Amino acid sequence: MESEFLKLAKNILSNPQQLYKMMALHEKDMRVSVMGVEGFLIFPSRFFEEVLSSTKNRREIGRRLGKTFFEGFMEEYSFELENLPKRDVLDVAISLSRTSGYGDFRVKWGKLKREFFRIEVREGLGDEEFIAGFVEGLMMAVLKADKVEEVSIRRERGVTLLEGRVRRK
Amino acid sequence: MAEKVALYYDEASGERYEEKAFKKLGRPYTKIGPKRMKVKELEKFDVVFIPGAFPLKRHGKGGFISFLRFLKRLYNDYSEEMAKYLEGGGRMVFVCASVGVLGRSIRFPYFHSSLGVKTLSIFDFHGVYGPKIGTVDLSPIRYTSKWASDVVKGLLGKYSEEEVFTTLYFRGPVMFYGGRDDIIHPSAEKGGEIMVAKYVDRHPKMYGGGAIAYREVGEGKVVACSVHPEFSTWDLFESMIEYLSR
Repeated sequence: MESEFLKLAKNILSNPQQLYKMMALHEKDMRVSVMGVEGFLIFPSRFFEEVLSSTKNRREIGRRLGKTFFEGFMEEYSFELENLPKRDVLDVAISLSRTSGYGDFRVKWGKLKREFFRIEVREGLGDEEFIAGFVEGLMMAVLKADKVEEVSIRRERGVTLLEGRVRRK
Repeated sequence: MAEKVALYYDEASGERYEEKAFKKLGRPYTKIGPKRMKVKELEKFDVVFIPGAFPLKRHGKGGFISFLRFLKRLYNDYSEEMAKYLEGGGRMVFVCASVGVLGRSIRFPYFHSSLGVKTLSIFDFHGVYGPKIGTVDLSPIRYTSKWASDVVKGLLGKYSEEEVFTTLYFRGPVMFYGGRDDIIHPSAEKGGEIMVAKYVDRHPKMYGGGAIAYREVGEGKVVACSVHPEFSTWDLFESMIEYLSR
């Protein structure tokens, strides 16, 4: 079942058209549900860029957003995700982030048993600090970790590489 | 929202998704196990849901043998009780895999056989378990008679107004009568059995096949819902419960 769910999740969450079809409006509070995960809002990315440009703590904003963004999926599908290899869950989280417009991410490698990960970003939402924080937040949600050691950023042949290490709860 | 809803569960059932939908709808429900599948127990509820089952094992639950056992149990252990319940005015909704046992025949796609699963023949359709998982597009079927139009409108609620709506699909049975494209039951315009929605999915083994069916049995009513509305169209369950409870 886990592999069936992974297939389903990848099929839907990494395909923008499929993801769009699985969105529904909760008529009580007019918030958007994404594949059954409730409480999403739609707002212009320009607003988001303005928020980022007006704060110094962009990494913290990214971290909090990344964490809450994927925590909803971890809770809603806890039963399905529990036994999946963490690398696969990370793949789902990264796919969803890409499909949602946060940037062109790829998991380059993720030796999550040994607590290291590397994520490649070809194009991000403008700000590297924010993206690094966002990835930290995603990792905290995926691994249920209370701390991710600061993700380092480096550039290699025009590609941004984010590398980090996780401490589990 | 006073209707009493029951949700069946056992060692292979996938009732977890129906529970999610009921919670989103704010609808109370009671879980009933195999021991409570008796007319006297079923009569305590306005609508009884029979969920799908998982052919693959997870968390020690499910697995293909358990899945087959689940389907066989519906015929071997519950057919008489369910028939009596329906004849006496019971209302039931079958979801995904459990729809397979409701018709005249069922076939598993890779095995091209029924694998010994007997069907209840409550409906006249034939079913073939589907080839994919993911999203599917459905289209409400338009009828000319008032009875049939009312059934489609009542069961699908706001989705009956759409040309196409999308929901989640998990290898549920595609339903048809004579040939693959034949999804209009002879009694559809007059009252009896009716296909409410069809697949307009691109997959050639699904396109045009029946997705949601409805039948009146004695005083009772049954819905066969071969898709999973729980993920994005969970309010379909609400319109089904309300329509069946009228």
